[in-house]
Amino acid sequence: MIPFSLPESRLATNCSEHRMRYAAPLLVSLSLLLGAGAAAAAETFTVHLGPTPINDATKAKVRGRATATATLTGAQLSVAGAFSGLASPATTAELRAGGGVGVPGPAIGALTVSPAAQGDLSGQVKLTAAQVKALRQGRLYLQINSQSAPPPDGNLWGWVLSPTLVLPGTNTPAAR
Amino acid sequence: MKHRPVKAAVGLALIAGTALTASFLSTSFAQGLAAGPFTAAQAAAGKVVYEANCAACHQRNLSGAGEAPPVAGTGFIGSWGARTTKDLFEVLHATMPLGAGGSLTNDEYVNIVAYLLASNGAKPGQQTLTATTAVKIDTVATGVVTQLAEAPAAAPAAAAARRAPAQRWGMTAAGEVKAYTPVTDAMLLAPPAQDWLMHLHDYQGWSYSPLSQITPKNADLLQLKWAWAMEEGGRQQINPLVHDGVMFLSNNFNNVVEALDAKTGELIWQNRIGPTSDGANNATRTMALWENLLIYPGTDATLYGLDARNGKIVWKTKIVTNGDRIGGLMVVNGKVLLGLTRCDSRPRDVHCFIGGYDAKTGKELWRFKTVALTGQPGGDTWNGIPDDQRAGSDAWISGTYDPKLNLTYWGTGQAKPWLRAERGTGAGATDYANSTVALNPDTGKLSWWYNHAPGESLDLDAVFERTLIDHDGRQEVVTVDKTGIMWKLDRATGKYIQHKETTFQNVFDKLDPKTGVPTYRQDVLDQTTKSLMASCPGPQGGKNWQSQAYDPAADLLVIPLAQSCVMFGASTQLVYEMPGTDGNMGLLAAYDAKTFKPVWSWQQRSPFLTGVISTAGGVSFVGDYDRSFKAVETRTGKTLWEARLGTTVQGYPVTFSVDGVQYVAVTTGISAGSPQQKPNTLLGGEGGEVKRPPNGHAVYVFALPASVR
Repeated sequence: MIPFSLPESRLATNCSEHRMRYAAPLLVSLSLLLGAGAAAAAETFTVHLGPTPINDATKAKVRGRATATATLTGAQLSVAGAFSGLASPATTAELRAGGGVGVPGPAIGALTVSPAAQGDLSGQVKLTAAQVKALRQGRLYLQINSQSAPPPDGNLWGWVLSPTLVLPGTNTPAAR
Repeated sequence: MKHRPVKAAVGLALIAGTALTASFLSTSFAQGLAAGPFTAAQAAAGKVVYEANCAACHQRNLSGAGEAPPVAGTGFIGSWGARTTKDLFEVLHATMPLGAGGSLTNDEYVNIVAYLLASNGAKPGQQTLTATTAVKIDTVATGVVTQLAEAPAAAPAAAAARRAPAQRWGMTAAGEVKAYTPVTDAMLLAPPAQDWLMHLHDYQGWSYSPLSQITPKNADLLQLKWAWAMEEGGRQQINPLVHDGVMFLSNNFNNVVEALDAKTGELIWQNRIGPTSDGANNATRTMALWENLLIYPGTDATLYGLDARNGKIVWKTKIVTNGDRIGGLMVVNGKVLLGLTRCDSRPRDVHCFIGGYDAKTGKELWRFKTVALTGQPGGDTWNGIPDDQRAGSDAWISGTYDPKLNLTYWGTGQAKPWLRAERGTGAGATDYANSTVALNPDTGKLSWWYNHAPGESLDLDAVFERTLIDHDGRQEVVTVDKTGIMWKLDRATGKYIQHKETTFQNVFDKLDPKTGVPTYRQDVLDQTTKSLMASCPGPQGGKNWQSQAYDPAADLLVIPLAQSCVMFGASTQLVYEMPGTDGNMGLLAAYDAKTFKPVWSWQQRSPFLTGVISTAGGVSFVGDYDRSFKAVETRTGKTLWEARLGTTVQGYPVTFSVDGVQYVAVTTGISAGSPQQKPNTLLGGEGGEVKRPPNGHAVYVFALPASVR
């Protein structure tokens, strides 16, 4: 029983995870209330990255997963995360913007990755007002490139989705 | 393409290559381009290999069919023109025949590439093509389809013969069902509680049984009672039928039909009708019972009336001879209603149709063409293309029936070819494709239609089951299409009532809340045959043939949904995870049928490959790609019980009772279209996280132990 927009697990989710999911935002909210006023303006986004589009011919070299947190403070988007399971060392990473959720588009900022099959992802990108709007619409995504899966297609991607963004078709929990 | 043995094909290729060289040299090729990097002998040899290994899915004329894309023409050159012969070789080698990449020799793959180049207008030359030859395809091929000389007719037949052991045909197990009760029209209108008489159980398409022995309190005690191995090969997705304690099964690879004692699993009779299918790209999902007959749709488009008591053929009718197949099937008012499918190729002399046939004799009574032709209502929605170019609109899922209105409700698939830029229909809606059609079952007369996805372009069918539900005196029909959109129409008038997006979709920017008419994303409208388009969901669908269940007591729809996207082109599909899902491809969701409000949902890594059935005991059943068959509490979605079966659980569960014991049966199957192909790419295959054997077609039957009944 989970809200569609907050998937966390690769395996079947359950009620305890569901409770955790709701507990986490509550804790964040509490800490924000207790913290500095400036911190209250920050928006946090969770990003799950999976393989870029593949077929059976390419999937062996386009694999791996990553999780990242993106924090928007003012116009600054800070990204921190970790990846693993690539078929070759990561080379570069980017923040990209598409025409819709799930629609690829051009790079709008560079990020940093560990030059290895597993490692860290980080960086900061200053967004324009239009890009902030696109972020809140779910149209921005992170992409990690690797030696075997270079840009523009890349190796991993994941959309930067706000917990408050209710995508069309999302299921919200309902008691019955 | 499909898996075929290798060595014999090599021999055929070498022999035929020599014989056909002269034919290639005399074929008219496009002028002005450089000679291709292959020889005529290679192309000739490739034709033979193609015919034996690829043509069953991609068709002998390379036009593609169903989910197998065209490999010649504008679509092919659009997708492949900018890539190289080496790219094509590598993709074929890794992925083809489907599910058996690398099973041919390098020379065979090279020769297939040569054949595809030649079929797309490339001129053979003196250079010998190799696996590492990298020539940009549109520098040598135009996409103008070039029909090459016919390969020896024996090649496909020989390949078919090789993929299965020699078999006896006919009544291979003789037997007689004792005290069989004829299935009357009255029984079809109100199915006995102990039976499962038709696809989706009842005329309303509820997939709901009034049996209640299995409950949320005891479902965890379910035990395997018996299993029966089914023929391997083909797309095993059959909906078993049960009547009078007899289970009827069939296999669509070689048309084996059999009756089993539903309590013990003992074989009663078996009729190996044959022939071995010439293509495994069409699933047989439905049979029907009427009077003493079992109606069976052969894979060669022959409709059979078998004596349900002993399996003997009472009558048979050839529906079409053009290679199209029988899709959905049901019996209403003593008439077999069936839908035609695989109506892909153009030009068409026979359009897809829904037909009515006398159930006593098999004689054709009427046809309703599911494509609106010139001069018909909706005939002006095809951008003026000639009638013989209006393809698709396949009726590949069985209809439902409202006896009070005397209307039968069917869905149709999209127009073909998929891309509107390729089929030439412009901004036309392509009626009656991707529509709900309401027909009089006695005459085939169209009462109304509603087009859910006018001008659809991304293989997003709206063909799936139409579930009939009443609320406050309003007669409704509900369906969920590949976009994951759940629709509710007034089934008396066809008027739009409401919709709900059950999975994420990005194909439509919006839908009119008063009419349901969608507005496509602009780049979808602008797509050319050369571009790849992001489509969420992709052809796996937010929903596919895996049917939903309706529980009337809870007024709940329980829907097996899927979550994946593709980059979609004329001849290319690249799959990726749906945003926001973290790679969970399976989503089971329940909705209030009256309000369409979500009630519960959960997701998992593997998609569901069976329909859902619900029961009066408050338990629903569903199976998945990763071999798991589950019982869930209908009202809450809580998983009550799980069994791990031999391979992917695929088909339509059924429940029935014999001697006071409620049984639940489900089949396994390992071949299918996008609902299996997409998870194969993302989850399965060599080195994948989901491991399953490449065989294991069977039916499994469960029940509670005697101590808790």
